[in-house]
Amino acid sequence: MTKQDYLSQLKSELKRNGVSDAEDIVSEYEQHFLFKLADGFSEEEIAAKLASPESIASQFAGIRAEGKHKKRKKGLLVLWLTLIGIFEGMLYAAFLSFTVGLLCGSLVPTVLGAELIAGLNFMNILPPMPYGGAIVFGVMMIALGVMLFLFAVYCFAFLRQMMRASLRWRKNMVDDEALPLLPMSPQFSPKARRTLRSVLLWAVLIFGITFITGYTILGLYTHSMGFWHALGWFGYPATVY
Amino acid sequence: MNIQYKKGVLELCVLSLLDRRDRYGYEISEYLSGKIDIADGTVYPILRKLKSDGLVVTYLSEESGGPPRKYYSLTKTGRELFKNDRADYMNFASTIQTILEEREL
Repeated sequence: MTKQDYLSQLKSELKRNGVSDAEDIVSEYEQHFLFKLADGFSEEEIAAKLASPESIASQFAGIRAEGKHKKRKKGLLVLWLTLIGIFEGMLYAAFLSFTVGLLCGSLVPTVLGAELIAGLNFMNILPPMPYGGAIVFGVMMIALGVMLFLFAVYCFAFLRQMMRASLRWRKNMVDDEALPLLPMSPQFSPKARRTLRSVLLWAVLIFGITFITGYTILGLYTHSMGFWHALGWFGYPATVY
Repeated sequence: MNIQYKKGVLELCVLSLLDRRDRYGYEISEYLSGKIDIADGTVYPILRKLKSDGLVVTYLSEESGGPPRKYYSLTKTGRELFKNDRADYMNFASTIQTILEEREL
């Protein structure tokens, strides 16, 4: 089969299969012939290696033309997605306020810890204790603040990823597209994940150590396992100060 | 080799070639028909399908005289899908290999 025969057969087969842009496809095969001819093959050889025009045209038949998406009735789908969206939005708003609360909450132990270390007591909210215990508990409170802060960061990343996954899913539903669905769990880069994990581990470790150390220091100072009684915390009468 | 096996993975092969750099249709066709026993004309319908799915875009580029070449380039979606499909396939292939290589003990 010559080049001309092949291309004209291909064109008529494409039209018979109802493929749009037949010209565009034929020109791609024409280029194939030109490249191959330049490499020294004969037209017959090239045509034989290409597979028959019928077979090629049938492979193009199932593909919808770009930009011409099948129009389906989407009114109900959009309504349904909107309804789910309202509830989803409420869930996200609740989760967001929880996260913001957590973020603010993480400031409290941090500030208290800083006060304990600095030996300050604004508004007299800290219970009395010797500075040896206060500095250790101060570090403990800061570690607690760091833990809460990391939890808030995790929650925020989780919320963000949930919303992204939901949007991707919606896009797929409406646009007839098959983009890969996104995972629901928070996605951190490996570096960020390692950093977060090691900071969290250190915070937990320091919290544990300073808790035990602080307890021991105050216990020894007051000669009592329940040092808060002796120091007069929570309204108990002080016996040491 | 059975044609049905090949069809499924050709698309993945094309995506893989495009993941490395932009290429024109003939280049992809030549590369694949040199490695896998397929008819030369099989790659163009695949490219068209990828384009219609929004995984690749095309642009024309003039090079050293001759007619302009139609280059194919992966879209962001295409790249994302390729990463996913590639991982799936590798997993699948290694499982199949294990099963096929299993011998009665």
